[in-house]
Amino acid sequence: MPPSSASIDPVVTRQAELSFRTRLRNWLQPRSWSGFLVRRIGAGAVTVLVISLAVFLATEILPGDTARVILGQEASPERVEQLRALLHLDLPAWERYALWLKRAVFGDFGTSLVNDMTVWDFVAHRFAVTGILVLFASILAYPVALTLGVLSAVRPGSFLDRAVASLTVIFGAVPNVVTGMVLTLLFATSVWAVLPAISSISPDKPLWDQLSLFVLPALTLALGVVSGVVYNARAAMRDVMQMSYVTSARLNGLPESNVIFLQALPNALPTCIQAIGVALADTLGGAVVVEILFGLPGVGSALNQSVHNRDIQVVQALTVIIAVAVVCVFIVSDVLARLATPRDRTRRA
Amino acid sequence: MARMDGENAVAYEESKTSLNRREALRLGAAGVFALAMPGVVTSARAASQAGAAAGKAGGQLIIAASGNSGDSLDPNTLTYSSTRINQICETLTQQSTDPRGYDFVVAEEVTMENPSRWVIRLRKGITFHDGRPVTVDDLIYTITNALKSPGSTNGTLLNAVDLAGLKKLDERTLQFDLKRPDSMLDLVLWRLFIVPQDFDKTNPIGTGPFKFKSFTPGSRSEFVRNENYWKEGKPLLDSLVTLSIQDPSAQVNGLLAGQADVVTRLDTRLLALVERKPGFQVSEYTSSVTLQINMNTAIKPLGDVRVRQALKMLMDREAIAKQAFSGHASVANDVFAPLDPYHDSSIKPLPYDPDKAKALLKEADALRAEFVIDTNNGFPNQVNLANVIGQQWKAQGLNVTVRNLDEATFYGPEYKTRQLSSSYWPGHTMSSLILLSRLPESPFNATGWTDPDFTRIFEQARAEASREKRQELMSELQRIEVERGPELIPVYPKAIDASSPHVAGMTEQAFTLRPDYASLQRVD
Repeated sequence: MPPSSASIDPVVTRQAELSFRTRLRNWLQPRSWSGFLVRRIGAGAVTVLVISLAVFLATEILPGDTARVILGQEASPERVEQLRALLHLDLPAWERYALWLKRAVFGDFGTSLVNDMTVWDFVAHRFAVTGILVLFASILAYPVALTLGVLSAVRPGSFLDRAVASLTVIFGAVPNVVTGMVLTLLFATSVWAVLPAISSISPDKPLWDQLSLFVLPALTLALGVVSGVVYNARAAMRDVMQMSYVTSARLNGLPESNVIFLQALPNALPTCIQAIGVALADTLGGAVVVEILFGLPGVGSALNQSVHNRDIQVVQALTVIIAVAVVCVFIVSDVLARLATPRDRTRRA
Repeated sequence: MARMDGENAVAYEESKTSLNRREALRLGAAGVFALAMPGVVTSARAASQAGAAAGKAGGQLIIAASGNSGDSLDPNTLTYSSTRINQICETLTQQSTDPRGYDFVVAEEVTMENPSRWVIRLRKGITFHDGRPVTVDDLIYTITNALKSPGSTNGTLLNAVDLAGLKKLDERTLQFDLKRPDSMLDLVLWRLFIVPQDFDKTNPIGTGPFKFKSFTPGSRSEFVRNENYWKEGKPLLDSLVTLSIQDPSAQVNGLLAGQADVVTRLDTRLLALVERKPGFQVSEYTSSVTLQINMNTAIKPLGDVRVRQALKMLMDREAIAKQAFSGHASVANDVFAPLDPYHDSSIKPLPYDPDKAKALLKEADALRAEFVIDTNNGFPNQVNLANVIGQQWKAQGLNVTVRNLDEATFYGPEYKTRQLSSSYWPGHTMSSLILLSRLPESPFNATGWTDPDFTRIFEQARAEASREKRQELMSELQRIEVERGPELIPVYPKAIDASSPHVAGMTEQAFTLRPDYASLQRVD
């Protein structure tokens, strides 16, 4: 059958192409929602890829031999060589990375070099543990931090403001490990023995039935990240409170609560949301120390142990998954911040 | 062994029930906290009460021990961290204070017909956890596995065993015809865990007091009572949980707060925390561990025997025991394997004599030599040992640097080229350590030291049928170690286990640094 005249008309085809390109360009416009999301997700994917490569290179550069670490000092050189071959440690680094990347794309992170478990089996439960820890810490930290930040901002120079500023500096300066030790002394071992000092998770019970094990780790983690959010919330709210439209609202006789919560707070929210996003990423990092301190079998302690054991497969997988989680947190906080910004929310390409 | 006596037990119970003003204040504050988080605290208490109630029927104890994601239940790749495998599996014999050096466990009899032929007879009536009797075929499989399994740490120790020379005399008796004489083969059997022919390390079966239930590397294991255990009336517990906890402080916090009942290999720096608590028990004992500084004789100036002697004479051993181990160590004579039946404690170390040591160094032209001690945190106080020795040498004017490396770096490609390196040997006999590190063919010789006389005397001892003559030869080897050997072993560290007031039966197995799990009991 001969082709239709429309399909071979160069003018129509050109117009269709132009139309498609224009549509695509418009769709990818940074100011449009679709363009915003595509760019954020694309940048996130590149970030994750770069991180995986960086971590792989870092584990290669680190001195030490996985096989020797696994076998300990008693192993003979022959045994070490046998194990190296068994673990494919004799392959060039780039080949191992390419092999890993190919499998990782399909969700196969391989098998742990030191305990024969698949990486997924080894880390799945640990992600649930760390997830609950971070959730618990977030519930404890962020509502309180936002409230304190806002209240400090609306009463600058007050006792509350000064007290919050001092506590913010103290909790921001004290390392998690010290906070955790003090909390353990207070609530577990020496003063009031009301909470568990170590957080050993039983596989026989659902995690939700073992929440008491998370209290001290979550509190430690929360106290470590609360300062940044308080500081940012206070600063954002102070800026907004000094704007002329807030002064106009007050001059118009609006009640103070209305001025603070309905007029000022919505405009401080984008900064607060992004501060929480950054704090959440910090929380994931802080989980390493807190999990070791309380013996909590989560992702942080697993990462630490795996680095110690040169368990490259697990280190790679955990780092990439944590990187994906952090990238997701940033994307979500960016989206929420955009939604909370009327100018951005309603912008069209 | 420290046990809680009746008086302490009563005091502890009273302390749990009486309420003074200070405690009332504490409870008040705790109540406020509990009100703030009612669900959380209630569930913590409910869990604790449920545990206590369950304890009356045999109960459960929780052990907090070092561990990480590399924890394994493979009996052939274990080093000293045999906390878990000893709950499931047993060896043919185990070290004891018996004059022959050991007690029989799975073996009923171990006989040397001559140094090239041994006969092992298995104990009658011992079964694996699934009810199958232990047979010679399982023993042959165990030995074959130990020799051939990738990563096995036992292959070198069984180097005299010829697989073709294993002869099954009956279902319980195995004859070993060795390819070279080994009159001390029976001591290596302390390290050989008997496993069935279809052994699976992901669901291990043994003859031990507890059966496998669950295990997560780097986190937790739970093993339950073996109802068919061959020792009458044991084990005394329904189940035994072992937690892998990296941080020693967290282990002790868990013990003090009641989340763990036993802490093994307690860090001496944390001992005071436990001793302050009424009713808590501490057991301190000399273990099989030797912590040493290897002197690499391939690197100048340590190839010179005068330098090695000088460095030995520059160690104030009493001070090292006090400063590096807080007094929880006994003075040693630079010879490893203190629990070995051939260990000769009558041999004295070279005396602490800085003047003579410096004269020797001057004679060897090594007074200005640079010494580098590399160490790692592989064993409690290992870094302290290196630091204190370094400080003592510095105080005598030596040029010393101490480097603390992470374990992976320490055991990396440069391991054999380190001048002075601290390390530890756990759970070994003297003949094992000589096989591993002192002979020309030794696979693991961090000192590069071999001595023709030493090698000849050791081979003579291995071929000697008479126990008395063998002891003489082994003592001669130890004298050589003291006089010109390549190792600094100034002290033998004590192992310390701690337990909560409701634990009884803490009978220590010094060779494997653990309590006798079958005897552990919950007394509340």
